[in-house]
Amino acid sequence: MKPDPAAPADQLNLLRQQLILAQVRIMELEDTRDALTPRLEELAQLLQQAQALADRKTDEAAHLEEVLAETQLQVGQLQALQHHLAQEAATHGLAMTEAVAALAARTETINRLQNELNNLRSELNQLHSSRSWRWTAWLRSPGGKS
Amino acid sequence: MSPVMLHGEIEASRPLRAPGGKISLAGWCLIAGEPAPPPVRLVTDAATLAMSSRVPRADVPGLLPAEPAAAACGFTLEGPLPPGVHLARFEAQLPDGSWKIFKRLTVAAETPPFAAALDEPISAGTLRDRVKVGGWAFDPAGPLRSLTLRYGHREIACRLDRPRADVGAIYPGAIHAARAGFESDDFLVAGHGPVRIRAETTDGRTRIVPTGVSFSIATDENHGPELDLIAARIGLDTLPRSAGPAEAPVRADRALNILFILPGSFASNSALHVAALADELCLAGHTCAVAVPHDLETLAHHAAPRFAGLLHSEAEAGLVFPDGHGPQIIHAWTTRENVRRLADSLRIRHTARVVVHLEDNEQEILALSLGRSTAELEGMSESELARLVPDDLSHPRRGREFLARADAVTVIMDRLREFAPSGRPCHTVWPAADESWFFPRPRPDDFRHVLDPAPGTTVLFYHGNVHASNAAEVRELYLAVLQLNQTGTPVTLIRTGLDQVDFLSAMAGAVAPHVLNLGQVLHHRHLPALMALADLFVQPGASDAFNDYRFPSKLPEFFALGRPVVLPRANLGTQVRHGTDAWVLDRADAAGIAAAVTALRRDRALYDRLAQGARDFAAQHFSWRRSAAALANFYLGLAGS
Repeated sequence: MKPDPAAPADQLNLLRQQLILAQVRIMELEDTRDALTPRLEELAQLLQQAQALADRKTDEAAHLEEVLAETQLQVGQLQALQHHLAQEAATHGLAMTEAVAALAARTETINRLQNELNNLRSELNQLHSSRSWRWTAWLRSPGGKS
Repeated sequence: MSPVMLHGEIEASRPLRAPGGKISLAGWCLIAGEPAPPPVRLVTDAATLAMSSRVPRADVPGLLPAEPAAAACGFTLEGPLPPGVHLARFEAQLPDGSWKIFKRLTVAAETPPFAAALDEPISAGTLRDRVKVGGWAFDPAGPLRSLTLRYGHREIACRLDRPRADVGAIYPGAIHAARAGFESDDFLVAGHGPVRIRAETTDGRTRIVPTGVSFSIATDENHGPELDLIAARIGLDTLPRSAGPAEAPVRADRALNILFILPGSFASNSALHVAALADELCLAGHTCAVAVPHDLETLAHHAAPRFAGLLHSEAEAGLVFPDGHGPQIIHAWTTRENVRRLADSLRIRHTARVVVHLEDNEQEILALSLGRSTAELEGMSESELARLVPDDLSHPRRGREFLARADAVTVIMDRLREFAPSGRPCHTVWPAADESWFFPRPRPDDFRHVLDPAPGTTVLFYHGNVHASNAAEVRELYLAVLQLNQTGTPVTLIRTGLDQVDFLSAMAGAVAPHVLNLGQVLHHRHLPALMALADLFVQPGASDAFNDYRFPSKLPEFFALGRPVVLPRANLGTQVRHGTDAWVLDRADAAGIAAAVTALRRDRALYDRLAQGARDFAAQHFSWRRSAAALANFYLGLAGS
C-alpha cells in the first residue's frame, strides 16, 4: 500500500479512511504470511537435507579415519621391513664388493696370462712360419732326412 | 595392547534438533569387556553437555550378550545449545580417564524462544480493577527496547529494566535476565480482552506472547459507560472463494514462443491484461516472456506469474526461450516509442511475426498529454516531434509506419480497427477480470454500518489513476457526489489510485467530506474486498475521441462484482443493453450520474435487475481463458502462414 493518501482534515473521515486501510493492511499481512509459510517449510526441508548429508559425510569421514589409521599402521610396518631389508642389503653389498674385487683381480691375472699366452702363441706361429724353421725341418724329422 | 572398542548409538529422530535451543536425547554406550558403562558427554565447539541420567536397557543384552555392562548402558542427555548448526561429538570416558568418540552427528539448535508472563497482580484470570500491572519478559539475545500490553483495542506502555531475581535464576547464563521485569506506566484504561505482551528487541524484531490474563475495565476518565467496548470485531471478507475459471485450459497442439513488449511497468493497467493473457497462454502450453522498460521488481505485484519477466534492455541484448529458440510471435503492446524501437530491433534478429496491439486512440492521448491538438501535432516537423514525444507515448508518424509494417493487429475495441492497415489480419481481444478474485461478493453490511456516516448512504467505488486523459470525466463523478450530498442524498465515494493532475481545484474542499481516498492499493487482488463495500459502480465519461477507442480496464471488474454499473454510451456502453445489463447514459456527467444514482436508490427492483444483469454479462463476456484461447488461435494462424 503506497503512497499514503493525504489524511482527511475531518476526524470522522480520517477514522473511516483508516478503518478501510486497516483492512488493506490485514490483506497485505495475510499475503506475507501465506508467502512466508511455504518458504519457511522449504528452508526447514533444506536444513533437514543439509543435516542428513552432513551426517552421512561425517559417517564416511569417521570410516575413512579408521581406514587411515589402519593404513598408517601398515605403513609403519612396511617402513620397518624396508629398514630391515636395507640393512640386509647393505651387509650383502659389502661381501659382494670384496668378491667382485677378487674376481676382478683374478680376471686381470687371467687376462694377463691369456695375453702372454697369445703373445707366445703368436711368437710360436711366427717361428713356425719362418724360413729357417722350414729349412731346418728335415733336421727335426726322424732319420734326419729332408 | 589391543585398542579399546566402544559400542553405542544415539536414539533420537534424525537429523538432530534442539528446539528452543535445548537438546534432549537418549542412547546407549559401553566399552567392550568392561563391567560398567562409561560416562558419556556431548561435545560441540560451543558447549559440552554431560550425561543427564543413566537408564537401564533390557534390549542391549540381546544385541551384545557377552557384554557385562549391556543391561545398564542406557543414558539421557539434556541441556542448552547456542543457536546454529553444530557438529556434535558423542564421547565415552575410557578407564584411563581419556575420552573417545563413538558417534558424530550434526545438531541444529533453534534460537531460544522469547518468554514473558504477566504476574502482577494476577497471573491468570480476569482483572477488573484499574491498577498498575507488571510481569517479566526475557529475550535470550539481550535486553528489550520497548514493551507494551495489548488488550481489546488498547495498547499501554510499560517500563522495563525492573529487577526479577526469580527470572535470573531460570536463565542463569544471561545477566540481563535478572532485570527482565516490567511495569505498566500507568493504571489500566477502559478496554476488554485477553492480554498480549508485545516487545521490540534491540535488533528491531517484534515478539508477541499471549498471557493467561484478561483485562475487563469498563470505564475510565475518558470512556463512559455509554461506550460499547465489547462489541464484536468487524472486518471485510478478504479471502478468495473461487478457484478460478470454470473452463479447463485447452492444451495447444503446437506450442509457440511469445514475447509481449509493454510500454510501462508491471504495475500498469496494460500489464494486468498482458499478465492475464500470458498466464493463460502458458497454461495452454505456450511459453511467454513479458518485457518492461523499467521497474522489473513490479512483477511482484502479480501473484505467481507463469511467464518470465525481463527488461527491454535484456531483451535487446538477446532473448532465448527454454527451447533454445527466439520468439515466434512478438506482441508489441501499443505503438509507443519504447515498444516500437524494441520490436523493430527484435523483428530483424528473430524473424518473428510482429503483432501490434491497440488499446487507445494513441494520437488523442498524445494530444491530451502534450496539450496540443492532433492537427497541430500532424503539422509539426520531425525535429519538433522528436523533442516533444516522450518514450512512453506514440510518435504520430513513426507509430503509423510501425503499424503499417506489422504482420497483424489486435484491438481492445472494434472501433480501433479504423487504425489497422487494410487487409492485415485483425483480432479483437476483450479484457476480463481475474475470476479468482473478482466475483459476486455480498455487501459487508456490518462493516458498512460502521463506515456509513448516515443511514441510507450510497457508496460508490472508483479505482484508477487520474491523469490528463480522464481528469475531466472523473471530475464529473466527484461533482455528482457533491451535488447529491448537497441535495440531501448521502453518497460516499471510495477512491483508490493516484492523482497525477489536479482535477478538483476549487471543488476539493467541498467534496472532501464525501470522499474516502485510500491512495494506491499495490496489489490488484486486494481491490475486490474493498469494491464489495460499494452499492454501485460508475464509469464517468461520454462518447469522444478518447473514450470511443478504449475499454476501461475497470469495467469487467465492475460487472464481475455483481453490482449495477452506470456507464456512458461509449466503448462498452455501446455493447450492453440499457436497463438489463447496465444503466447506460448518453453522457455520464455529473447530472447524468446524479440522476442514475437517484433512480437506482429509489427503485429496488431496478437495482436488483441490474445487479443480476451485471453478473450475467460478466459470466458471458469476460473470461481471460476464452480471450487467451482465441488469441492463441490467431497467433497460430500467423505463425503457420
